[in-house]
Amino acid sequence: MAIKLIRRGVADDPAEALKFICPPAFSGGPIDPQPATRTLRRNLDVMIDLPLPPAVAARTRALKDKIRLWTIEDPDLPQDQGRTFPSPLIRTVQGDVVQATVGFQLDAHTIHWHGIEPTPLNDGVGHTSFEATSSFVYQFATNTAGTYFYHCHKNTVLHFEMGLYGGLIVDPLNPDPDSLNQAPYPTGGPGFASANVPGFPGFDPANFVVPYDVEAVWAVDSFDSIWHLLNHDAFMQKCDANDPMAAANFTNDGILNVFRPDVFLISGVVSVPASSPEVSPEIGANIQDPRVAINAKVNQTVLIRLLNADYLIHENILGLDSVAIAADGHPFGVPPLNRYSAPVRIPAGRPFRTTSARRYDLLVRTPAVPGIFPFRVKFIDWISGKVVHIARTVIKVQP
Amino acid sequence: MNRRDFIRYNMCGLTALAVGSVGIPGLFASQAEAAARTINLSFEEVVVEMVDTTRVYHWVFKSGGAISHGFPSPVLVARTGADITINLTNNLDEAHAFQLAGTDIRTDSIPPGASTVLNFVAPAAGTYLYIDPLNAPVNRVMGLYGAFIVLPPGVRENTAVNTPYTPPTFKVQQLFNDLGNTPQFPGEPWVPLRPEDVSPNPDLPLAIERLLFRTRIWLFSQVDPDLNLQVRGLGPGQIFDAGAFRSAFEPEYFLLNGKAGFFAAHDHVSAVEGFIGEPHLIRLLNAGLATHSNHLHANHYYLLAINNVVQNSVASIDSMTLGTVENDAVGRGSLFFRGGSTQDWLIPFLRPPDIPGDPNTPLRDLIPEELATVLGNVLQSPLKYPMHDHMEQSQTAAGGNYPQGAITDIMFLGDIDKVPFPGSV
Repeated sequence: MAIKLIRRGVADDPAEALKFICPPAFSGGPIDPQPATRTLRRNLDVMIDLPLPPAVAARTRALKDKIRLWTIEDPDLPQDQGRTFPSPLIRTVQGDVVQATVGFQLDAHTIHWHGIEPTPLNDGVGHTSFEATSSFVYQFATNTAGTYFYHCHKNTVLHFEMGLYGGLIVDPLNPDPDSLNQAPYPTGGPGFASANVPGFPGFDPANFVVPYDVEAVWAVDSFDSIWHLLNHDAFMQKCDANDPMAAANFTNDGILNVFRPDVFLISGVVSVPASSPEVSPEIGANIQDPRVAINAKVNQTVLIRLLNADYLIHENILGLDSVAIAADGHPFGVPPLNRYSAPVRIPAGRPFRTTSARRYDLLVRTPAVPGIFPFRVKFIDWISGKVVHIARTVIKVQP
Repeated sequence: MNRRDFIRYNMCGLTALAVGSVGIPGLFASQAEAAARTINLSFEEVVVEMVDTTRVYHWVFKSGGAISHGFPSPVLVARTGADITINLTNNLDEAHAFQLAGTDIRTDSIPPGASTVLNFVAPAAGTYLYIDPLNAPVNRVMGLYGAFIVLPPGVRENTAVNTPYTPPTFKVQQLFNDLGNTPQFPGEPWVPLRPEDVSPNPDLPLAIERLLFRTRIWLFSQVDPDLNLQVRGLGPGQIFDAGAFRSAFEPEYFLLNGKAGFFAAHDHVSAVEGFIGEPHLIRLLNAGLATHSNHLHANHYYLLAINNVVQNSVASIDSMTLGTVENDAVGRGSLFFRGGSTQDWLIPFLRPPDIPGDPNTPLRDLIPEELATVLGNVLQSPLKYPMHDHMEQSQTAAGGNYPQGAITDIMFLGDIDKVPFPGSV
């Protein structure tokens, strides 16, 4: 007897199916404009080559001494600051209405402002809106202070991996309007974060903000060097207006379901293996680069904004006690929408995990005596559960 | 069975079957689908068409009643505390078994051609995965999995119970009490089942329509066609080495409720559709071996429960780890650790909170240009956003074809005053 065949579904709406597979092109904006309180510009994509240290290059599958990245440029900065990986950080103030003029120089792309929740035309997802060509002015408010990021959402599996992302921080107001340090705060600190942490030094319970002295943004990522040899539209489905879901339109030689990273990074700084090749998992040398390693003084507050910008599971271990004050841009315990949660104390040495796109904001109080404290992140395969690399950096606490 | 449901039963997609001594009056539309103390499930083979029409051999639990289609296995629905009897018949040629994952509720190994009877009391209200635990993970990943939903008592009355749990935690109870009753949650409370006086949604299959009134089930799984083919080729009684299966597992298809990509996004059973102010409960399950990181656009959601542990602190997040049955065996899930193989979310269905402009102006008046925009011959109204796994490898089919993977839609049909956006019915 023949085995029963169960069909995939009914492709009964060709217009919707075509838009899902081949998003339409569009430009212009802003749509339904409101008065902006903040404007900014971005361009994508800009290709840069990240040099790989010899110890890393020697064991990448692509066997090259550099890796091709696509980035989002800030054209208002000098090139050495505006063309970076990760893409330049955006800072806005809680309550801002932002208009972001985005230029699209190479091919069609989008920007999705991850965790910000505007209309679909401003949400940057091709198949529910469009893919932009020439330029588009995205408009959105930033109503909840916290840690977000922005990234291209076209052929996302590849474009996010290629480096088309950057941080987006929404700062709460300084409760002291006479202070010289007003939001948006300088990157690196000092500043204020939204939180509900009674007893924490400087916590302002009337405004639900806490001051910090030093700020770090850790975007943890890994690259599969083979993927970085691909083009924008690699392994995309063919566009066929008459029968978009026809079997013949699917590509069948793709590799984007298999992610085998061979370069591991924190905030664009490559982790260089320090262990001998037979040690498994591979352990990176302490990253000392000032983009990553934290320099603080005794009795200070450090705010760490941790992002999983990867396709792996991360197990993070911090060598100092911390308090998680927010996840995904929303501060625990801050009313009204977050009155159902509370900050979480994470003792030094206790592992905690993230998966792709998840963010934690962690407050660390440095001890009264100087010292060097470790941070480790284990990169864990999303299927096998095996640790494939351990990256390390430090928090240096000085007198 | 009407024609609409007949077509559905030859398609991938969810169907449901109520079970247990304590009925859930009015849950299902017809007498044939009403709760029975006893149901019959058999272990069968089927061929499932993937999104690109590739055909892949699977095993499923098949129900013996009116709803006897095949993939994924039927959703079983019961009231907590109900006495349940499941008659299981193994029509495959190797041993199989049944288990509610993470519980002691299970059968012994059932030899080929044999039957067994499983009696149990439905556990605490929540979201459970039922699986074949033998030769783990092979039998499960071959398709022997389904959702087992346990409802709290009193849901029929709609007002007696206003959360999905017995009992909820203090914070979960507070959240549900606040829905529709506080300035931060204008609109309506969550409603566990469609009330009798609300007309049925013609876009949902009858057998599940009432359960999904303000609820969705998202059952994730992954398929490696090469391994399924190798399992099919084994002779009677032969089993595939579980360790070899695990290490070779390289999925090419990523399913949500048995469908992928366009079919999952445009499936009324999976996509969330509501007016602003209509909170929805989402029950997520992962039957596969890959860990997901599910990201919702347009609203942060509240993480209510992980592996049916109702949370004491209910975080508002936009992305969350959905773990695997194997991870559950290592330790309890939490917001900060493994995500659990099942979890529940509450989507508050707030007006997307970062739309600039006066919050008291209805969106139909605030964003008329967007609602009238046509792109690719599709009207932008109603407002549609994706929910997708951010481990973006799962957004592929056959190694590419983005976004034909584990994805669905969330759609805002109209303003809080129930005036639909243009194009919404």
